Amino acid sequence: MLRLTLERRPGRDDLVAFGLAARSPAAWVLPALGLLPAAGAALRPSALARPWRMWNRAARGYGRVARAAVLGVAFGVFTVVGRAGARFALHPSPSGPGWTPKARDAAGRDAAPGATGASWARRLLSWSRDGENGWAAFLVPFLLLLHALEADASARAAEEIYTLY
Amino acid sequence: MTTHILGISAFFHDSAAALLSDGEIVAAAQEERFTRKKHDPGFPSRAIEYCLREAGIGAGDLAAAAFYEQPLVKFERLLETYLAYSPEGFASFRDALPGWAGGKLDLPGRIREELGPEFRGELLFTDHHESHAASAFFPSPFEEAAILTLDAVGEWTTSAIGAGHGSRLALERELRFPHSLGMLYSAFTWYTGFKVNSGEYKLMGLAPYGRPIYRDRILEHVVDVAPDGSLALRMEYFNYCQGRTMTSERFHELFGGPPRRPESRITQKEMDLAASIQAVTEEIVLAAGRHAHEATGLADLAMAGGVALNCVANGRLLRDGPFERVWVQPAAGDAGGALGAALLVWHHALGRPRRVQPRDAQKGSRLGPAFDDTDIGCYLDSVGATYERISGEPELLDRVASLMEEGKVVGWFEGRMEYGPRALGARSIIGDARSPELQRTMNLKIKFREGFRPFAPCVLREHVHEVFETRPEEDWPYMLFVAPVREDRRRALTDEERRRMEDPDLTIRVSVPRSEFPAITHVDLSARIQTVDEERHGRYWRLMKRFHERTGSPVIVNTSFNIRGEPIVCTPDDAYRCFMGTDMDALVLESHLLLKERQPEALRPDREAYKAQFALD
Repeated sequence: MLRLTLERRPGRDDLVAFGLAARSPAAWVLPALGLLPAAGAALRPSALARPWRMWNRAARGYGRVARAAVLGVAFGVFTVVGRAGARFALHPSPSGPGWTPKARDAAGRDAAPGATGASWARRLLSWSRDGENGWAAFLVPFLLLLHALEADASARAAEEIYTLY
Repeated sequence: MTTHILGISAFFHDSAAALLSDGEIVAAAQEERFTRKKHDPGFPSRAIEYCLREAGIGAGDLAAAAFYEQPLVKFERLLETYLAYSPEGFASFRDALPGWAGGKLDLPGRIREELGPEFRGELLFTDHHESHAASAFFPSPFEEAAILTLDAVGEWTTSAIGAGHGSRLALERELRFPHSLGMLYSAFTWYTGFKVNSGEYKLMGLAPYGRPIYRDRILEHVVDVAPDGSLALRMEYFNYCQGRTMTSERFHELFGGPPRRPESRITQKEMDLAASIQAVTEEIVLAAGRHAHEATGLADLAMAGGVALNCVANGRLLRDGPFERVWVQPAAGDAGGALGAALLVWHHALGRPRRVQPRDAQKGSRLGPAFDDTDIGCYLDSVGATYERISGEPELLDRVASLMEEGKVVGWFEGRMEYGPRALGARSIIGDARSPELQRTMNLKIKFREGFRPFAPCVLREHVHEVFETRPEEDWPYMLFVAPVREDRRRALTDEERRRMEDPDLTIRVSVPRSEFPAITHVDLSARIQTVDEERHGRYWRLMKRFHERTGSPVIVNTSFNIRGEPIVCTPDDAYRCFMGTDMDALVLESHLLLKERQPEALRPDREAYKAQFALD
């Protein structure tokens, strides 16, 4: 699938590529129609600039809706499954403050040993299986979907809060 | 064959890179200095590129790269937090998860992709607080020392105690999220209207204007503190686990109202809150320090973690605590984790020995890029600047000292850039600390920042005990400790001045001269000191010596070379733009001297446009 960069001004190559890609849906309707965008792209790329921008806006909106839907479902599933399986390490000790022993950890390898070269999803699955976090595996399909929706790794949290993640 | 190890910190705040060659710190820098985005959390590509260039190597020459924390363990903490508070927390979950799906879960792949296919070394992930501990202990001048790390949170740990001996260290005890001194302090930072992760420093500077009238309320309701310095937060007062703000409605009710709106007027309430949380923080740090001393039996202490940037608490720990000496990593926050990760790999994973340097191995924290006179001259010619190139150092220093004596403010750009949040005489704005007007001028016309904030002194190390209440020739080169001005250097206040000290306008309070060095003396007569010596500071020390010979003052004002919201300048171009966009009178770029009145009018940028480039911090 052609991935369009939404932010920058389209160059000639972008518009030609868009024209060639746009012929695919059109070709389903009427094969002859499919030739038009391709011809336009070849002869006059600038004519496609506006449809290109409109397509990008629509794609961006679709991405937002899809991400929100995926996240909503993920949160629901995660909450149900997690409550069944998590350790709830967060809750404070009822006896109040106090230093606890820290597990020693020399400079370690990637948290999923032996998984060098494996995809991140496989590493996450290995980690969830080997630790006590099997329930986290249920998030993997949602994470894969978010990854496919080009979730932004540099997205920032609200500025009113310390970045905990 | 030389073994090169690259350390990396990234993706949360203050990304950085550091490079060791056979265990020696060759280069270290924060990414923000190159991208000009303050606290830039992005992958530190440019910082890495600089480090490799400084060492004259490529990624293919690296034996290993080390990332400063373990992302999957952090992910676990994130998920456990959401579960503990579910079904609340969806907004926070929605903010966080895309970032992880978009790249944080694939850090090994991302790092290898950024370093390129020529990188064939090992990729390791260290523990966050062990990275801090390593950044503190290994460069310190101590053969053995207790170790205390304090921050908001790493993976799960928020504070840790341990010990270092020779080339090994171990953290034995920890406090775990959500119980965090760093988060407690950040919560008050946010509530008083400052930005988290950059405003903590301002809260510390505001504290001397207030009274700790909320101290008891904090200790009764908000946090339980044990005699050993451990703490447990009452989470009903906080919102950072499940929400998008630091404090909850219950916190607001406890302290009599909603948080102060950023940039609105600071009232006595905020000053008193600042004083109160500072008092609580000092008590916790002191108690934790005592506990570390009892647990280890060691005479010296090495510290790191973001809370270790609280130099008032550090000064209290040194004065009232059980340690003979305390050494704090200058890049004590997450940027320093890059250095710590590399050091952990060298000493622990590779088992290499440590050579303890008697005056520390941090090299004055001058670990960033330098620029030579030829390149600077070419640059200045290219922009049409008017300058003098003064090849003889004595003449240059005479000219600069004379300008300072006249009350001029000078941008000083010399040598390698500092690593860490403080300017230490390589990228500094300097002036005469005896001037009663300088503090106001620098705050409002040069830094464009809050008028209540004091400036810090640089003092010739051989004279530090003559001006401040320190031991003779105290070695504090990193501006991480606060000490009072000596009594014989203070001024008695007139009745009128005492009234001005009660004025609700803090700029009036801070303008009352309280010592012979009004520009650097805070309202409580304290100062955040940097000692300057010839071995570490070279030309900067010689400048101060020249100024001392002319004026009798061993003290000058030193503030970072930037305006509010801007990272400290890195290149001559950054420095020239800042110089032209502010009311600085002169600029020194190595051997080049520029005077503002001689610069072409056409080169002066619109002041507001210059300021608008940088988001307020």
